[in-house]
Amino acid sequence: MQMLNIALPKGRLGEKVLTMFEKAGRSCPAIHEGGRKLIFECEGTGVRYFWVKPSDVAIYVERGAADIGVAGKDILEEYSPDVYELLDLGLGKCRMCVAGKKDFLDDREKTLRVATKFPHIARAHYARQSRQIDIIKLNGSIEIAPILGLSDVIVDIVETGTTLLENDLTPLETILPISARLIANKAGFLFKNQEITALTQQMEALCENGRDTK
Amino acid sequence: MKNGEKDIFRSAAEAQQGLCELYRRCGYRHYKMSKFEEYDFYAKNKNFLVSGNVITFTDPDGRLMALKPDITLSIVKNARWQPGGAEKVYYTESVYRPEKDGGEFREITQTGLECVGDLSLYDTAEVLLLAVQSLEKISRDAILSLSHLGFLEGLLDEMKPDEPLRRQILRAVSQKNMPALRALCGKSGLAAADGDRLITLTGLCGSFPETEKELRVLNRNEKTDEAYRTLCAVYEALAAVGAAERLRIDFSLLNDMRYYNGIVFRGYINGIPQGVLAGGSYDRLLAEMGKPSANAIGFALYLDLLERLFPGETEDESVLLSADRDVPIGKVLKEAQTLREQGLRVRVQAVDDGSAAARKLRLTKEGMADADA
Repeated sequence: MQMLNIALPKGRLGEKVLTMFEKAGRSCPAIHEGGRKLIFECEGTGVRYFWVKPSDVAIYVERGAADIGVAGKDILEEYSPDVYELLDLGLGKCRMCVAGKKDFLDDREKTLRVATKFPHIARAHYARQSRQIDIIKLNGSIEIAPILGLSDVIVDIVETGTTLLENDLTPLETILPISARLIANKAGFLFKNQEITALTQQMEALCENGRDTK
Repeated sequence: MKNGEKDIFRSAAEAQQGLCELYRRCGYRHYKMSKFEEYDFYAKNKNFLVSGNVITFTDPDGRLMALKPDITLSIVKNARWQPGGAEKVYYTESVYRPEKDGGEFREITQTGLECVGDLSLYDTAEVLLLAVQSLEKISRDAILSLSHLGFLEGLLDEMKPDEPLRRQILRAVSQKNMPALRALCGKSGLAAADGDRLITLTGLCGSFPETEKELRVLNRNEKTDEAYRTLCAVYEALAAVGAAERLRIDFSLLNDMRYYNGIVFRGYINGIPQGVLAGGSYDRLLAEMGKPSANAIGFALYLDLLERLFPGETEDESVLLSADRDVPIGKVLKEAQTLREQGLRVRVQAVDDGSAAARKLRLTKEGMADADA
C-alpha cells in the first residue's frame, strides 16, 4: 500500500483535525510522543503526517509533497491553489470581514484605503462593488491601521470580535464565512483515489455526526 | 503488451527524441516555427493564451513582435488541408510565458501534436492513443484523465444559471468542491434534481466501465447524449488496442469552454504533482479564427516537469585522466580514446584538481596507473 501524506496545520485547529483523522481510522501513535519532530509515520494505518505552518498547507498539497491537507478557506481564496477542495470540516469557523472605526462613514468620493493581509480577497470584494481602492498590504497588527490613520478600513479574519472591540473597531461587512477545508493534490487524488475517497467519506460522516450532536 | 523497463525514457532529451519519433511514425509532419511572431496575432487571440503577458520587442521596421507564448495558434493559422483530409503535425518548441497570470516569465519546452481539418472520431481516438503511448513511454505508472465538455454543458443547459452563477459552478466543479456545489445549486431557483445530477457528475472518478452506468443515468439531452456516445466510442477504440486501462473519467477537468469543446484530457505521472500532458478538441478556436466547420484536437507535453523524474547525471562511469607534461600529447589523445571505446566517460586534465570521478588515472612516460597508487 502506498503511504498517504497528510499535511496538518500546526496549532489548535491541527490538533482537532488530527483527532478527526484518528477517529477515521488513520491513527499514528508516534505523533503523541511529544518532542520537536515534525514528521510521523505509521506503517499500520499507512499514513505519514507532518506539521506545517497553517498558511503553507496549500503549498505542500499543490506541489504534491502532501496528498491531502487541511487549510482555511481564507488561504484558499487568497492564493487560489490548484487543488481539489473535497470537504468543509466545519472546524475553525470565523469570517472574513471589513472592519473600521465605530464612527466610520464611507465616502464614495474618495479612494478607499484598505489595510489587509489578504490583498486578493479585498481587491475581489471591492471589484464586485465597482469600487476603486488603495490596498495596503500588512503582515500583522492590522487592527491599528485605521487608528493611526494608515487606512480607512481593514479586511481581516474575525473570530469573536474581541480584538476589534479592544481596538475600538467594529465589523462593517462580512465578505465570506471561513472554515477548515480538506484539500487534495489533483495528481495524488488520481493515483491514491481509493484511499482518499474512503477517507473523505469517513471524515464527512464524522462532520455530520458532529453537527447532529451539537 | 506491458512496457518493459528498457522501453521507458531515461532522460528528458531521450523523451523529446522518442516522442517525436512516435508521432512521425503515425504520419505526423514536423512543424518548425520561428521564435517570434507579430504581437498583433497573439493580441487578437489573447484569451486563448495561458497568460495575457507576452514578451514583446520592436523589430527594425518598427513592428511590435512577440516571443511566442504558444504553438497551437500558429499551427491553426497555417494549417492547410484538402476537403475530407487533415493537417497532422508534431512539434517540439520553447514557449515563453508566465506559469500563471502575474508570475515571472519562463522558457517552457513543449512537445506535442495537433490534428486540424475535417476530422472524424478516428482522429480523436488516434490522438488519445498517442497521448496514452506518450505517457507510457515516460512511466509505467501513468493515468490519462478524460472528460467531455459537452456533458457538463448539457447539464448546465438544463439548469440555465446566469453567467456569474455559471462561473461559480464551473469553479466548484473544477475543485470537486461538493459543499460549494450543493450551496450554489440550491440557490436561485435551480431545480434540485438538476443540481444532484451535476454533483454526481463532478464526483465521478474511475475507469469508463466503472462510471458508464452513472453516465447513462445522467444522460439528459442531445448534448449529453453526443458526449456519452463519443466517450463510449473512444473507450471501445482504445480498448481494442489495449490502451483503455490508463483512462480515468473525470469531469472536474475543465478547459476554457470559449475555445474547447468535446473531448478534453490531461495526463499524470505518479510522482509529478501537476499534469504533464494537456489536450483536447478545440473546434471553437477554429471558428474564432475564421475556420468554421473544421475540427481540431491536439495535446502538449511539458517536458520541464519531467526533470525530477529522470535520474540526474552520475559519475559512475567517469574517469579523470591526468597526464604528465612530458607525455607526448598524441599519446594522451590515444590513451583517452582507448578508454572511451570501453564505454567510459573520460576527462583529461594536466593535474588532478580534486573534482569528482569514479576513477582517477595518471599517465606518465612509464605508462598508465591509478592516480593514488
